[in-house]
Amino acid sequence: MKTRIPGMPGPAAHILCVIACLALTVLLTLTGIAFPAVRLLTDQALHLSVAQQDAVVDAQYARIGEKVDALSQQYPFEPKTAMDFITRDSLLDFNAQVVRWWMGFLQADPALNAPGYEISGLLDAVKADETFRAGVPQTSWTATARDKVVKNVEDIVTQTVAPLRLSLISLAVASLLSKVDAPALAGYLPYVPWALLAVCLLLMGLMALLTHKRMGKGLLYIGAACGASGLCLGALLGVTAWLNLPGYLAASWPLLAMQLRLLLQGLALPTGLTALALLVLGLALIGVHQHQMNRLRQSVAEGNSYGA
Amino acid sequence: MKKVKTVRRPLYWLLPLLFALPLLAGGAYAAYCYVPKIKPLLEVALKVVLIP
Repeated sequence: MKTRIPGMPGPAAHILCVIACLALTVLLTLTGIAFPAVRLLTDQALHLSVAQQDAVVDAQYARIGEKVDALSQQYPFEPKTAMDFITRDSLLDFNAQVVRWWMGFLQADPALNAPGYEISGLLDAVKADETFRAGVPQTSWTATARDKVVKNVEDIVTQTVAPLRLSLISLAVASLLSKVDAPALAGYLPYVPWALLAVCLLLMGLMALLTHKRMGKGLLYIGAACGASGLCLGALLGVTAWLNLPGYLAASWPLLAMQLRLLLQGLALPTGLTALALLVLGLALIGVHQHQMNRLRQSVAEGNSYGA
Repeated sequence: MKKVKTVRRPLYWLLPLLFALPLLAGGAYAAYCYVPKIKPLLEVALKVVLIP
């Protein structure tokens, strides 16, 4: 026989709780997405840590070496002459310069001129290079060294670090910034996830208020929403992994794919942990509800007035 | 002492899945409708912005 338990929330409270639970699931999922998204848009340290990783800089250096070798076949010069000017430290600095450039788009008075890698002293070094002197007529040493070698080596470094049409991006951003007040919007960005979290807490409070007669029921709904948002975030991470965007880019832009993979890994770990924490919290709250209700049913069946 | 049998209601444990399903279904439907439209645009954008 079914045991009737007194002091339960009415059907209206249950219906409202179900609606609030669905809203809470959506909002908690959005909050879980908003934190990494805002970090992606505003955390310069994250981008610097990816751009300046040893593996990335080593791969860039190797790629630059290959391209400089190919260039030295076209215009005779010793590749070592150029490579002596491209140091690991200068690559680290240029990576940081590119990151600061594009992260600065959302700040007031952004530097819209695209960054370029400049090598001072290479022109003289190329002109003094024995292979270059032997292979190029003396009358065109300066012009060939400046326009064909130094310019190309600088372009090689710039395009290896940022294989993007930087000038085009600068133009597009300048046009966009004339229409949108990006710095003002960017100022609000860090508050968005916290505002979402505050709304989630408000909704949880509302559900607790609706089920004040039996708080265990409120925990059931809050737990269900937490667990559901944990599942949604997990599914989102799964879909992102399945889409394999770095793999899509790897064929044509291996260095960019490597950086994107590192960036996604950096964001996926905290998001995955958040999803797991939400799922565990949700199941724990449901467990508390189950435990409380069992105790309640037991005491009611025994004829006590426990908790009623 | 008389042992009282309690009702366990194991289906309550599946409530997170129940609430996640509409959201996941909505997301899957949106992806089904919009991804085929966005993909060619994305490919063009990549070709314009990235240097091969």
